Amino acid sequence: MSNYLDLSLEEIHTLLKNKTIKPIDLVNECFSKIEKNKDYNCYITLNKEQAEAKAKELENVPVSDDLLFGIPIAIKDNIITKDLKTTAASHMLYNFVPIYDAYVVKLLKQHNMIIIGKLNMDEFAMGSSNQTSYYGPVKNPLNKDLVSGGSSGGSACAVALGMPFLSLGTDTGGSIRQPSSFCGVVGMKPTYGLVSRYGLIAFASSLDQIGPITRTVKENALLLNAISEKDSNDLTQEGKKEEIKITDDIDLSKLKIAIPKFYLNDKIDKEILNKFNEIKSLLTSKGCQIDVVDIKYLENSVSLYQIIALGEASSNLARYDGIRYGYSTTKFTDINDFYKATRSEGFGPEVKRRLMIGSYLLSGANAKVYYEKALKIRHAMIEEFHNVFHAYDYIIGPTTTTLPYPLGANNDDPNKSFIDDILTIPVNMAGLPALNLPIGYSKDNLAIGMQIIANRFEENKIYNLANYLEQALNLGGKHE
Amino acid sequence: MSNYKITVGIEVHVELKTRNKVFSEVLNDTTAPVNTLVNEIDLGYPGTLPSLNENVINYGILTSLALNCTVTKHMHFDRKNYFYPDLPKGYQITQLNTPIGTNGYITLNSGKKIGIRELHIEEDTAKSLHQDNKTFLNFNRAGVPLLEIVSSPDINSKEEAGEYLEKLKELLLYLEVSDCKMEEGSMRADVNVSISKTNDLGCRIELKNIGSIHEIKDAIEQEALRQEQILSNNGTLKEQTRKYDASKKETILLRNKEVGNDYRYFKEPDLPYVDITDEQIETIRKKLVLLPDERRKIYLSKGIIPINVEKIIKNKEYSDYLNNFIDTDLDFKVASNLLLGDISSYLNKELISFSSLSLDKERFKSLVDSLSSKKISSKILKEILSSYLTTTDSIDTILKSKGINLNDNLSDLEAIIKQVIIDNNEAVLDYHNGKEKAFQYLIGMTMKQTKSSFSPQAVKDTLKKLLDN
Amino acid sequence: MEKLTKEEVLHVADLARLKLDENEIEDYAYKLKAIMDSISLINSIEVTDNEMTISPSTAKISLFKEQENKTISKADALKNAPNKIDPYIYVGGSIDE
Repeated sequence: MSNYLDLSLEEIHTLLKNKTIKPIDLVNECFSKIEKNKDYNCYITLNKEQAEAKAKELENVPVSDDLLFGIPIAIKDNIITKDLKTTAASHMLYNFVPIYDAYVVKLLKQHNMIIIGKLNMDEFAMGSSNQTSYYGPVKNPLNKDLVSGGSSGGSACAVALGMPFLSLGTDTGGSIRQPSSFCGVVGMKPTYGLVSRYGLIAFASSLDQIGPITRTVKENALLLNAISEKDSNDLTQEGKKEEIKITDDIDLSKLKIAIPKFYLNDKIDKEILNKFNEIKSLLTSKGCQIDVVDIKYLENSVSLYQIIALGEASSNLARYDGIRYGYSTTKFTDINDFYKATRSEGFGPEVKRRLMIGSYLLSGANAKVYYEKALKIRHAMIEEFHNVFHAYDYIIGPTTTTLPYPLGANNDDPNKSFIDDILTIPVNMAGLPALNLPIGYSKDNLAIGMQIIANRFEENKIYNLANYLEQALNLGGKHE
Repeated sequence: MSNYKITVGIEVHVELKTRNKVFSEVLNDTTAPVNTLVNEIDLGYPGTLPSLNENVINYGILTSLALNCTVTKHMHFDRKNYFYPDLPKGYQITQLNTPIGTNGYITLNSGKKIGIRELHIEEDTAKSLHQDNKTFLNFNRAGVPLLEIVSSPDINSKEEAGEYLEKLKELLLYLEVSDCKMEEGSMRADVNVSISKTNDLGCRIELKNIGSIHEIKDAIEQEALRQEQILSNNGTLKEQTRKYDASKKETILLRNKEVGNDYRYFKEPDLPYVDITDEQIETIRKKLVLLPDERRKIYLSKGIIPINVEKIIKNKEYSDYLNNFIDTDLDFKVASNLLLGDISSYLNKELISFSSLSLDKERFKSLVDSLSSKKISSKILKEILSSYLTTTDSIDTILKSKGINLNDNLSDLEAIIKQVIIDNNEAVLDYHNGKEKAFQYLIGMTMKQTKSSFSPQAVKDTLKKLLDN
Repeated sequence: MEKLTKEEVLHVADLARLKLDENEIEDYAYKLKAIMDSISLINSIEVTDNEMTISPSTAKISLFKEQENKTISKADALKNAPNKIDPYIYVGGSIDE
């Protein structure tokens, strides 16, 4: 088997350009890798025939200067792909073949990228260990007994295994960053409003963003550039203001970095904190000013998340009624029984649990009392972040509180199940961009990541610091 | 007489006739073949997001201003969550907290003002057809823009309810924002009726799905009677939704209202705030000219008889056409008679619309002038109208081509009349005995002899002169 | 331990259009109460102004002009429907008006 997919994007591009290889070689290699690594369960649907056809078709197209030309990519299964089954890892959409393309998918196609398949995830992106998928859990690329993280578990694991090395995930409360951290890859949750959500199956509309998961920072920036074009179909989206450019000479002595006290709390695994402190020392030694700051309301983000994310979700998932698409029950007595049977048979337990909580929190007087209060605290939290970014260029911290844990570990306590996400949720609440950067391994060779957070639409800044650290740490993406 | 006071509040939904739907760029035409004007947004497909139609906002502002409402300048949309087969997303996008218009009114002929509590934008549902215990869905209507206009409970009789609805409908038709066809569902009214002996409102009963304003008036009457009977027999009323059976003349229970619907409203995160500027409002306000009540005043002052004023107002095409002549010396009375009489008959006979005539304004005016000065009689009008409307020939040319001679040689006329007087002895006697009918008879006989070739005024004057000599 | 009543749980299940068995009803009676207890803590949090953030988006809304017709074919509209008789999508079960 060839190993072209282990080469850098520039190297592959050169080979394509001078016709040493063809896109079909990359496609074939990718599918053999997927076959070899079947037991990681990264994919829900493979797009083999169409991918091969597209690769063949590209043989007659002159190779442009676009580094993404002819490169395979895989897409999380909650992003709509025309004529390619899209399930959101739910039985509810087990047979759903979309009639349109998500805007980001349109853009990838315009770049002549080749869509390899649809990646496994937590059902409707509800979960942080990829264990709520109707299609079974994704395993951790560094240890098959452990979880991949979630909800973009398939997206992170596939990239870690290089099959292929670029994917799209989605992040509502940490769903790109947390699995990226667990799998040791680079994952970006862009500014809310940078990437079009048109064609992203909504979980929580005011929190969801699509973002790239890649093996390197530069590849991540390149992919984000490609998917952040302005889309008139998403009225909450602004698109990119300018192309992201990474410079290899960043002046660290001028940087001011804040670490929220909350991001060093005692719920966080010691090994993670130690690794993070090494980075902190490295940056300080290079002249960065780093301060530990107090950011109010961060400790409330789980409550806000439960109210806002689950409230919105209970509404967003009301459309799954078995009438226009998806699973539909055959045994029912009347229309209400039809709805209830369809939804109870179509949704998995975690989704049902969240729909119950979301419906409850919006019902009766609760919406007025709790939902509106949550929106006010959200506003205040954004102001807090705004003030921090007045004085600092970045906020940094660990991405996760724990290392990857064993598959099957059950999170049935409704209040504990979101604790995994306490370090990632605040970013979604404020609509900020945040990137997970792998920063090393635990003593058991498990991946550890950190978050680099900047002000809205400052992805460029994040990539530049991440790129510096990536070079300095030189982890090389070797996992085996 | 009953000593219960009736209180009525009305919620009217009208479909706006914008070119596109409200949240998708699909054509708005509910008459199109089933499920041919839909896209993934209208079907509530996973991953879709709403767009927003600029014209719907403009229609909302225009209607708000016409209903004397305050326009909300910073507004957002809300989600109303409930399950129903005709509701594709499982929620309706509407405006709960920031309706586009608030605090307006409609003035009835009595001078009483009926308050408009609010006016908000929302989306229509799919159209369902119930058959064989199944619901068949046509999504062409899903996403059609609706304005919901909510009155205050200021209406105290079925007559006021009827007048309120007629006025509202007339205004919306004149604003050209809706077709307001109740029979086709482009205008729908939910009527809340309660009765009470005190100033506190009684138990509110909602009447739904009534097909016409006439039936709404009947339904209010019957429902008030029903409530009164229950209360006078010491019964109690429960909040209900009822419909009206026009053939049995009674309201029928649809369902008891539950503990209040739990719609779990929250603010729509997929649509940013809409900001409306003062400039925008003023630009739209300029379009608010010559609303129906203003036209009524003008027409009455120009001598159109009241019954014809109402007929002209009912026919907006005629009214708009007449408005071209407000600053001229056109005889509006004759003009309104011409439009409502011979021109309407002609259009009915030919099965064409007034607009398809594209009647030249100068030609219309000269026709009205000729009638007004009695240069031509209504009888001659009937003979020439069709040619006049379908050619560009002048009145004289048409008369000539039809061999009609508008004779002005009075000696010829006198000779004919003298003969008529000789031939109609009895009538002449009757005339001298003061019988007015005899005079009309003699005019008729003269016209017959002259084949209407003299102007009616000339015939009348000459006959009178000869008889009285 | 405090819990919701069975009726309250069933009302929520009805809103979400989900079927619950007796065990689940009992389970949710506690779970929903526990969630509510932890969430109600936010009411003691002071915020300085009353402004609400519906969405962190800073996009200015752009409204569409009425120029296009982005309709799809009837075949596409019906394609994924589990129950259809051209040209309709249908659902069984009687519905009151």
